Amino acid sequence: MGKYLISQEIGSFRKPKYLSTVFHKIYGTDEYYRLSEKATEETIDLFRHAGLDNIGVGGEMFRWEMYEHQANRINGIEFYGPVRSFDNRYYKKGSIVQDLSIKESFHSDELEYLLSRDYSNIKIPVTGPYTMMDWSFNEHYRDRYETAMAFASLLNEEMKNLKKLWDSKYPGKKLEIQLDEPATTTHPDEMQIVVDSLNRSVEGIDNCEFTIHVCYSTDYRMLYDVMNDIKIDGLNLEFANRDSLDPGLSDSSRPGYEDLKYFQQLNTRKKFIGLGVTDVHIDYIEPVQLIKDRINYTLGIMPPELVRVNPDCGLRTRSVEIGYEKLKNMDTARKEILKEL
Amino acid sequence: MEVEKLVYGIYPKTNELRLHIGRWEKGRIPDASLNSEIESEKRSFYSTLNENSIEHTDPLFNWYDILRPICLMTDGIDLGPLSRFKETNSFYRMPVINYMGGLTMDPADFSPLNENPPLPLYVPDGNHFNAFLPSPLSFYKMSRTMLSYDKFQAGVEKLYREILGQLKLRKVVIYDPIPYGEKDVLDLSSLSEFQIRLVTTGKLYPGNIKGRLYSIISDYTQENFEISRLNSAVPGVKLIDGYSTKMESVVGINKILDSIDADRVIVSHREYFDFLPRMIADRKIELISGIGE
Repeated sequence: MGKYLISQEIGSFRKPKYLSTVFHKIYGTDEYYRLSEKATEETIDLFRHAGLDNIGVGGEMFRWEMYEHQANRINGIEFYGPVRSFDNRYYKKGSIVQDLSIKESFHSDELEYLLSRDYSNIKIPVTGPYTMMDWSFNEHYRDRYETAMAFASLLNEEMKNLKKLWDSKYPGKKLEIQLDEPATTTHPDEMQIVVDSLNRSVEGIDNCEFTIHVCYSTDYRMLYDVMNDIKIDGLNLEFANRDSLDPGLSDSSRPGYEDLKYFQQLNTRKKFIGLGVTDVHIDYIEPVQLIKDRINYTLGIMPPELVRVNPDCGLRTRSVEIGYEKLKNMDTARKEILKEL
Repeated sequence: MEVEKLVYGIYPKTNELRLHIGRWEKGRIPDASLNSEIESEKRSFYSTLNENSIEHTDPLFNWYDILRPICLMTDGIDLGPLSRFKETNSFYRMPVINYMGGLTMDPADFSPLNENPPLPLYVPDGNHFNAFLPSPLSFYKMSRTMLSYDKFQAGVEKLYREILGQLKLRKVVIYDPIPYGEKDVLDLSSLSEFQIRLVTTGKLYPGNIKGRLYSIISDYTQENFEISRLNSAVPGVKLIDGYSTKMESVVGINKILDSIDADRVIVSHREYFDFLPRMIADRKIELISGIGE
């Protein structure tokens, strides 16, 4: 793995039909494990062909959705039915009805599989405490702070277990964990809850690299304002979605990335940025030159050791073919830049 | 005290309807079949509310968000990007308003729309029925436009009069999901021929609302209630939480009502029920039925 411009997947990738069409029917059965493992293997193969340094967990084939997957494995959450997110898309939003505790590990089956295949260039996405709180109904805890901290304690327990599992295979080697927190900046007056719950989640877990992934925020600046207080090593963020598709290195050509100047002004603890360079909500395959311009613009703001490259978010919204092409161009762009550096 | 009850806005769909819409989105069933399924579910919703004498709007099962069908049937408005609805995990298509033209289709007719189930805008129903329209102020704040608010407001008032006129409706719920700033002014005086129930969000400031309305229904605080009482014929309070699965108690709500000094009051809910699972929304309607009795 290179030191500069490490390339990484953010999380989810399109599931093959043989898995997606039966996922709920076979969930938890031997067949579920067989097909999830097969899909993971194929996706990792695709990531390798695309040139990714870090393969995540192979596209999150063991998981259907980031909230429900974890909430299903927690005692104290009851589901009354789906809730609409947009158009005719729904998610299962749980109601917290009693003290939370872990029913079964969220991700150890996935990690055990990856370790059995000797993969070490992985990054485990875990849905963060603030998002778990924000996406749940609360009928039990006193307030949102207490609820987020309850989730944080569970995540701390889960991540300690994952670390133990990792250490049994790779003692002394750092484990990468990405805390997915899309809800982070949705309530501007709750940034202290974000900070405290994330810090509680990672408390006492040594020799791990922690990152957070936040996408589709209306204002990253409020996150930058508190990032030095959060015990994380880096922030994997979305930028391409808010950028222009025109090539160029000027501020006006790269409006999506201009905020990084503010980030770098505040970045006294040298946290790295996982730079979203390809938009996961459009089928347009960004040309290599455009991606190079996005990276080079960023390198004009911060040093290369603080920059990693990734898609804005999981590519599950695109077809496998388009997802692959996007990753491939991302890899070509960063390799060309590495040669020039 | 006389208590009027109101249920407004997008109501959560049954699982059957959700699946039906999914099939329609994939092109497996035609528009007309979806339309008849939606109408049948609306009729069943109305029947529950009418049995309990609850004022209501259309449950808007064919509205993907509270602005979209209006945008799609109005000349000069395009659909913009998916945008977060307030601080929720729900999203709407942000209107991009180029200019405020007139209606391009009859709101009462069955007509297919792009990126939304087909019209009609509402399926009207009996004496307790109210039209539902987003407040001009929230509509403007939730949109992207170069138009001044005054120009937009003039256009939207004309549009609303056109919609209500064509559908021959006099009663309307106007909904303001975005809280007012101290200097915001929602002027509804030119729509005085309609019986308006205005549902607001958050704190009210004196001067926020112009025009004599039938009711201003606000989050319950003493200050909000005073403003509502001064500016409308029947003050209204939101006492049921549309964001929480926790059930309120009828006894608790009746206790609050007993403490209010008014001859007549409207009781409604905070936020429309589409943010709740259907089962909980149904339970909350059952609870509303028992209020004041």
